[in-house]
Amino acid sequence: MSFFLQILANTLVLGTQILMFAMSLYLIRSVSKIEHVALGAIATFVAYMFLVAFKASGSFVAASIYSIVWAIFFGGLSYYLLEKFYKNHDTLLGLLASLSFGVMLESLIAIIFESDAKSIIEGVLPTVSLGLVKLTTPGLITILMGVVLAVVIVFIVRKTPYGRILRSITENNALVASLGVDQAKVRMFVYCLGCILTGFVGVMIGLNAAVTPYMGFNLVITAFIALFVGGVTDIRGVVVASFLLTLIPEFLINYSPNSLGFSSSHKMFFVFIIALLIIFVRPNGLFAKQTRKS
Amino acid sequence: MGYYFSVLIKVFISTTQAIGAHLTLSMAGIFFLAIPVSYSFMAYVSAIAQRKFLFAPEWAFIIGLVLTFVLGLVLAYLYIKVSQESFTVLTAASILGFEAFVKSFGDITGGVLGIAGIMRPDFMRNLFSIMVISGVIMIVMLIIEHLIFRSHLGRSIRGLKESDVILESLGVSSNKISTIIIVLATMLSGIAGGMEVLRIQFLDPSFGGIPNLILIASIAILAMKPSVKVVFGSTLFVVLLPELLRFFEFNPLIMGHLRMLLYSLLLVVLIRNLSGKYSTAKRIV
Repeated sequence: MSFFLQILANTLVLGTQILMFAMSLYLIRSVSKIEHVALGAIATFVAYMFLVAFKASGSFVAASIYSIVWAIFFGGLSYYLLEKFYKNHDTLLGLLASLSFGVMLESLIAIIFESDAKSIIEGVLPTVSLGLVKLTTPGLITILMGVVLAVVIVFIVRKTPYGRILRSITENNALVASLGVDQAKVRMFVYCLGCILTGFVGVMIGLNAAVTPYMGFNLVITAFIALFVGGVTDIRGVVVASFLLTLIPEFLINYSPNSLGFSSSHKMFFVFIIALLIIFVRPNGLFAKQTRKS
Repeated sequence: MGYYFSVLIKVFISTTQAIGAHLTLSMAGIFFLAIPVSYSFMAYVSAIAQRKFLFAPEWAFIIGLVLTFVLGLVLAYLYIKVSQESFTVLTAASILGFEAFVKSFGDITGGVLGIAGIMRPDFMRNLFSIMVISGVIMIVMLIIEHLIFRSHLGRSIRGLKESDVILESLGVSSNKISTIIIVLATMLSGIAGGMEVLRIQFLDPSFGGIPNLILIASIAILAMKPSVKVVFGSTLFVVLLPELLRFFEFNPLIMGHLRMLLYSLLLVVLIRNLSGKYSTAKRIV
């Protein structure tokens, strides 16, 4: 039982990381129709900036402020990079540009900081015991913050006037503009919010394990898949898909017969197979409603 | 001399692979991002057929081609079945999925250690013969692409980018056209992968992957015109550009990252300049 709970707890940490990436992708897609896959590299860069500031100052607060400034900078840069694609309705080109931008950032990180893993906290990580389960403190903070942020974002998107503006931009941006909403400001704000959320995840990964130049890419691709498996128009689907894509491979690996020899390196392969199956059965996502085609 | 042969082989192989990306991405507007997957797939199949099942290198290559053709059909079916966006996501994710597959099923693929000692056919014993053969393959493929552009198929491919509805109304099956070009792109990429593995005689999970996608996408985006001369010119430019880095005294450990930085920067600049000119559908409306 404790083994099961421990796997569940560890998976929850990873699932929450993916969820926060997926939510950032969802928010940015809502306002710009572009999948900003460079968020993975941005999260990595922000984590490295946290590492630099923490090593220099020794203060978590100073490092946090410094990394938030970088996240906001990347939010602005993302807006500058992708706004043209939104205006020209070249959303798939925007995706390709974002992918290239991500690769560019990762290469830059590898050149500046080299490819080896770097730990933010040296030595043994502080852990918290929750009955039968043990979690690292950064892992616990990730889950708690993830749950709080998920609830807040789902609430804002579904129940508040700001959420209605976000959703209506997806539906009909011209009509929203005619109501006096400054879409450019909304998009800029959402890009910055997305970069801060993923930057937070990057820092938490760095605190929980170590930072490497390519750590964000696998996460953002899994989140990207979760976004489509869940259905790009429904944030509830994104939440469910993020945890499904983490839980199923983890339990397949830990509870399959030893003769099959599944290990953690099979995880991404399982994610891809699960996504393929779900997309074949429900091409518009888990929670997508049937819509009339105009 | 070996260096110049290697660079030329790289140009020829990249051109062959880029023709597929040019047809799908630039001409048909299909965001087919699984090009590195077919590149690695063909390389792995031919290497496994050779090393594990002891086929002769020529037969291993043919087996690789047949299975790559099947892969192309599967990908084309996927394109028909799911939306354009989901297809883009799945093909991008398939790069990581395939890499994970290669790392996980080490009994077959050699895992992270890879497969060493891949044999070349008797007629490809040295770099010069590989250069000649890859050059001939490239020329044949360029001629085929040129003939496609001048044919009804070529016009249909470009029509697919304009509007699949109009294409259907003219009695052309958009599914058939997309199947043909996806299978063709998969095969071309596969041939390129098969040739490259014969050159380096070693395979590991880093073969292909995102760097290969960035390289080929840069060429395809640069060559937006339906002309084989432009495809070849773009390949020359993109492949030779990082070679300039050799004139600077950079640390060899960062050369690979510098190359990727240069490619991705080039691609970002190209795509940003292309935005607004890529889709021609606005003219119809």
